[in-house]
Amino acid sequence: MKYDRKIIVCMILIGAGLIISILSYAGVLHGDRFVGIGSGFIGVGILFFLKQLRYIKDPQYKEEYDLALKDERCRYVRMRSWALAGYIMIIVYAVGGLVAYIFRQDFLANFLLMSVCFVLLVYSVAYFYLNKKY
Amino acid sequence: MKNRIEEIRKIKGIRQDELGKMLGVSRQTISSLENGRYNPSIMLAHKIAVLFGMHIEDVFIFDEGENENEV
Repeated sequence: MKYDRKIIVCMILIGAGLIISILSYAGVLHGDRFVGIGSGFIGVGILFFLKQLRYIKDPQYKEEYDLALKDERCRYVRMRSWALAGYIMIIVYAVGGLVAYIFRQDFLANFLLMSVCFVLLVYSVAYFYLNKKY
Repeated sequence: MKNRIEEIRKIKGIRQDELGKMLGVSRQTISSLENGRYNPSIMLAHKIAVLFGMHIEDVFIFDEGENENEV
């Protein structure tokens, strides 16, 4: 039942991609970007579908996949990976924002530096909430 | 934190993947535990000790100075 819902999501992605691509080719949606978006949706939908198909057909893969979801070390690794990705993103955005500011790319600088502020704000709220919870 | 998982597992003649299945974790997790790269949660440590029919302190060797350098 759980993977049936995932297959429906795959179908929705592929369907949306097809609709966007057809509308773009028919001239209803203007611009090449819509062909790209449509193709992207189709590609992601197909990959996701193949993954789900393997999950259904291959019992060993299903067992390994389910175990990896429950395994506490895998959870720990995932959590650490997200934390590391967050740190790296903040540093890259902050440095990129400063470089953009120096080169007078004001829109880009504002976007990058505001993104850093937003992430730090979300972190503070999350910390406050989780500190109360635990 | 050091542990005696590998030693006890070998005495009992259990393979890493078998132990992983019994505990509901992957073989890699057992390998990481044995090498000391990963410290288990109290629940997993308890499960391991129960499975081996021992107390937690007989399987895991607690070193009070060990956590001082961890961030």
